[in-house]
Amino acid sequence: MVDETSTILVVEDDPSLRESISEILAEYYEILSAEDGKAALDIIEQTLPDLILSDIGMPRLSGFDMLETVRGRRETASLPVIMLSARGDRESVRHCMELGADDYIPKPFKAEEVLRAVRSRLSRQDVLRRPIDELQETLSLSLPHEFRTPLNGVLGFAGLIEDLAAAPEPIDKAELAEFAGQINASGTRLLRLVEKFTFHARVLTKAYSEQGTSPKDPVSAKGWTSAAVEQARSIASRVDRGEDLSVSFVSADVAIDTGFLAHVVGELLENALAYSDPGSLVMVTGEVVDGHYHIVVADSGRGMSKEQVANIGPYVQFDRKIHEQQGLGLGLATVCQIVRLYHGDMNIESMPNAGTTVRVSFPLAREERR
Amino acid sequence: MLTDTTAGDQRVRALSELGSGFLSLITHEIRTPLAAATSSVELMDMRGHAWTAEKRATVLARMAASLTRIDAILDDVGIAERVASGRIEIEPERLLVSQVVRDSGLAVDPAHDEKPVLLRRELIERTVSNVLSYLTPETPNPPRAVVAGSHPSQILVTIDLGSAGAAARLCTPESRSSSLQLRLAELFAALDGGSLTVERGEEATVVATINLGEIDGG
Repeated sequence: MVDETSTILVVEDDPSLRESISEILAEYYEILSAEDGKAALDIIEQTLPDLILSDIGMPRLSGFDMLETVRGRRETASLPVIMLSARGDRESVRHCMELGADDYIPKPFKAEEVLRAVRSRLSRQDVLRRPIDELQETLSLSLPHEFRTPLNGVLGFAGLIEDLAAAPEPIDKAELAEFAGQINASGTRLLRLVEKFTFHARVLTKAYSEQGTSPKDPVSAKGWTSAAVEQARSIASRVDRGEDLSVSFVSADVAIDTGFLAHVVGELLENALAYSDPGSLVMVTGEVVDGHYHIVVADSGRGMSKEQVANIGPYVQFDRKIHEQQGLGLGLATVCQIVRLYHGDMNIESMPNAGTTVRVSFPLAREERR
Repeated sequence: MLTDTTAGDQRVRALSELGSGFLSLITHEIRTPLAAATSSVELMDMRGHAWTAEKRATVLARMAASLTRIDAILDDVGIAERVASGRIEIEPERLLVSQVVRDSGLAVDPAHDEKPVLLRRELIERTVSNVLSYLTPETPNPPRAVVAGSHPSQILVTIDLGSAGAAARLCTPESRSSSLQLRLAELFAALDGGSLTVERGEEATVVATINLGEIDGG
């Protein structure tokens, strides 16, 4: 976190310089200091800093050797490290970066240079950590609760079947069928949750690993549209709302993996069906506008307030007490993440009791744009 | 005894050594104390108005220490240049190496048959100074050294740093090439046609091997 409680470890064998750097930073951060790489590693064993600022040439263990050790350990591999050095030559800088340093400041330096470098690295670390923090929140907050309910259903009805089997009376087939059906429903719900969560984790992991890299060139080729229509009809039929669905897609190559695109359509449609009444129309359209492919899903269901739209997140379900909805609340959050990943755009127009229109757009594939 | 020609050849060699990479070595050595001094000045400028007199004195002392260090580096380089170019002479003396090492602050176990040798005190002092720049919390206090003559024109000084890591660090090519003290010690060895090497010994020790050259062959 970039705030006053971030901890910086200053590693420098010259005591005067070590004290000066520590003082420069102490106004904004908690400071730990070490006289060489070995002492720094000893400190890190006890207290994990948020950033390391290190000299290179030091007794016992150099900055380079310390950096190699830090990068080689799982718990410190992504720790931001800024190297300070009396060597400003290109080879030294390159060697630092090859070893995994995040930045390099040649000596002598201005206080503002050090402060700016530290601030920038901490901010970047904060941004990089966001998908992982989101995943951790999902794991620790909503997952246990959401999995427990269907799991209790499976275990509960399995227990009842055991009781039936143990009882002296002959087994009532109708009762057995009912219990088995409940187990099936709970198991299916559990499977669906696992799939949703796994997909969400996959999207977040992809987002985390591709940060700072050049975008790849995925394409959903034109044929995706017929599969998408089939998918939409299947989703609507599952909840007996096939009659309420209107779906049409214009054919085009879109710059997004087919699997992710199908997921976007599926999630938006499921939400629209879940938050609208049977008999009300749900429209799904896809069209090309200004070099982008726009997917629009519109319903006339209960809608959302502005605050609710702003608070869409992976563990947030709105008005859960009033409108009990099963699930992790992951659907829209995952769609948001996919939109971000593929440089798309997302817009939600909604008013309470007046329905919701969700528009997502992705760039067309390069060949399509020509 | 050195002839003028021999002395001249050796000086040329020494000057060549001096010039090779020396400028980058000096700038490298100066950068750290310079950074300390400029940081202290900046801190004083940014926050000094709110400091107590005691705090101000601490920072000023820190600044002074850094500037003194820069001064010492420039002094060293000036002396070395003048010696190499022949403008000043530092005469070799007949010395007990173990005594010079002891005078440099180490606890010494001399060879039982140690004899005085003709060499420049600077060679020993700067060699020890280079090694002592790698002191660690594990180094015995005072650091321990053993002086031995492996044959008439070679002296070995073994110093215990107390840390195998520090000993290894000291002997990397990078450390060797970036140590002003070691380069100056090598210069003084070369002036007399001798040589100096500092290498890793057993466990936590380093061994400085001084070949005495032509001044004193036995």
